[in-house]
Amino acid sequence: MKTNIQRKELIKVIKIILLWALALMYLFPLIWTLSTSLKTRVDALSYPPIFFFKPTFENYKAVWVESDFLKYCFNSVIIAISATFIGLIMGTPAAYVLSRKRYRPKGSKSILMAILSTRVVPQITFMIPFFIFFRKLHLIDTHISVVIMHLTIILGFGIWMMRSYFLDIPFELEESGLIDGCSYFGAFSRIILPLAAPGLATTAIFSFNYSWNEFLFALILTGLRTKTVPLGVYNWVGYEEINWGGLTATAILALIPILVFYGFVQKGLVRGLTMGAVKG
Amino acid sequence: MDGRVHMNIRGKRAPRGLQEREIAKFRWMMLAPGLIVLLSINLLPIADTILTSFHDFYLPRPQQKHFIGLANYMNLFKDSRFIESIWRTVKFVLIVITIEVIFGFTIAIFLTSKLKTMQALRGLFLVPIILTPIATAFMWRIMFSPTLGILNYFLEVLRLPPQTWIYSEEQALASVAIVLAWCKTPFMIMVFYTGLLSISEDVIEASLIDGASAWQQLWRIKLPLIRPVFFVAILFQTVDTCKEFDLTFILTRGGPGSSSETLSVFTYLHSFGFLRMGYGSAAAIVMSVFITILAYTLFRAGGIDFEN
Repeated sequence: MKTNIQRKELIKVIKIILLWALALMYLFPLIWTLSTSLKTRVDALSYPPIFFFKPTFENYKAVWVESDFLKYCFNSVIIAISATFIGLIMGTPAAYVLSRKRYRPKGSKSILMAILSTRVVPQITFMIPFFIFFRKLHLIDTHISVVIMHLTIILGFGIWMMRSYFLDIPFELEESGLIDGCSYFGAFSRIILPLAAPGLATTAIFSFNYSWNEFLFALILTGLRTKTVPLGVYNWVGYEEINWGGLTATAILALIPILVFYGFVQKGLVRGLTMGAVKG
Repeated sequence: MDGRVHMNIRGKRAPRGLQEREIAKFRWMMLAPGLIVLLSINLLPIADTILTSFHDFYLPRPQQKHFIGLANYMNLFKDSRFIESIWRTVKFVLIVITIEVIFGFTIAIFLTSKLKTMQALRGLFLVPIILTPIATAFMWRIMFSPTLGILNYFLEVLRLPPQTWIYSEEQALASVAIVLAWCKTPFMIMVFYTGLLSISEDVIEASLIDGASAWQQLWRIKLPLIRPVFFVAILFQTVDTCKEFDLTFILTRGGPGSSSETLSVFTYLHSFGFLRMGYGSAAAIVMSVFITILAYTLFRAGGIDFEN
């Protein structure tokens, strides 16, 4: 009996060790990027690769001094916050109405399916007409053009997400508010919205993350004035060669805000990834 | 209970017709902003792209834009490069999804076992999905380098022949697929993991009492129970993989030759590379239809219910 328990314990320990080894192997590309960002130019390009070296922060200094990293961050933050904010302001009320049997219009199912098409149709389908349109209005290389493009994804996503959170809140709650004399909007804004606050936060973080990382729209629409962080990474690619140190350092820096944010949404992660289809 | 509450409201508020009107007012006040914006930034552009696809439209000479009917579509289906890009996309999706499902499911199962430090591990396995795609792509480009890359160094250490990775026609597509699978496997892990956790303890215990082995438990009980979740995961990943652009663009730009040119890269090149907006629009529309059909098939096959 005792040996049986011991064997089970041993298997557990082996499992843990194996899983940690697997996790480290899996994250190796990230570890390698981090180490490249801490290497000198010569070390970064040496073969066989160097695993142990004296870390240098030269690359990070270069990001600060040689590139407009702060400006890219500023652009990214402006665009991401505007798109997230507009998306939620427009999307949340619609999501609420679509989540309630009592309020939703006939054909609400087709409305939801139409919204889902924003996820299915490739981004470039939206990009072509908007590019022609923005060029006519001289809106290329402005924040507003990128915000609009990001909204094409964020708005639909936000409606689906928020709807799934509203579905979790029982109707009885606003019902009692209505009896107490709340208006329909009052019941929504004073009873339901506070209850859906965690959902709002998760949806906002997902939207922000999407906008922060987005590349195709930014590649086509931004210029010198409005480059976002992903294009800041891309900037280190020259005609002759790639500045790996600067590039990896920028990539690591771009990761930080997202890592911080994700600490907060562990719980809503699966829901965010599936637009509310799977509730985690 | 429900009926009584309704009666109460009606009693306190207004006659039925008036209340109906009030609800309708509220409904459209809430829906209108979102739906109007959605209509103008999502549906109108799709309609406009369809319209553009019937025109010969070379962006630098907009005044020469003219209607040519279905000619763009005819040419697309005669364009062997386009047809190849469709097949390439199918192949690409199959490779990516297979890798993701196998690794995602295996890791998810391990993560559900009650072990120490499991929470930290779960966090680690998640990281790649939140990386900026562009950073991921460059990260792998460093590692793929045939002469200086760490991957070939590892192969050398293991006495295996070096590979050409993204730099040869034979391996480019598969290499890009590996990178995409690497960064999207956490999606599968998380969704499967959530599904597995949602299975109630009772079911598992009952099967244990009935003498089911761990293997039987997995195949006969757990898998059928998480079938809907499984299909949602595959649906989302299939759609996203079909649309994938960032990684492919940074890693190979569809090359060498056109060996990794998927539908999205083809469409990008024709519209924003060669500035043939009409032709590019037609490609974008065919691609949208292609993905929609694929998604709908999976949707139906999985019996996915978004209403829950």
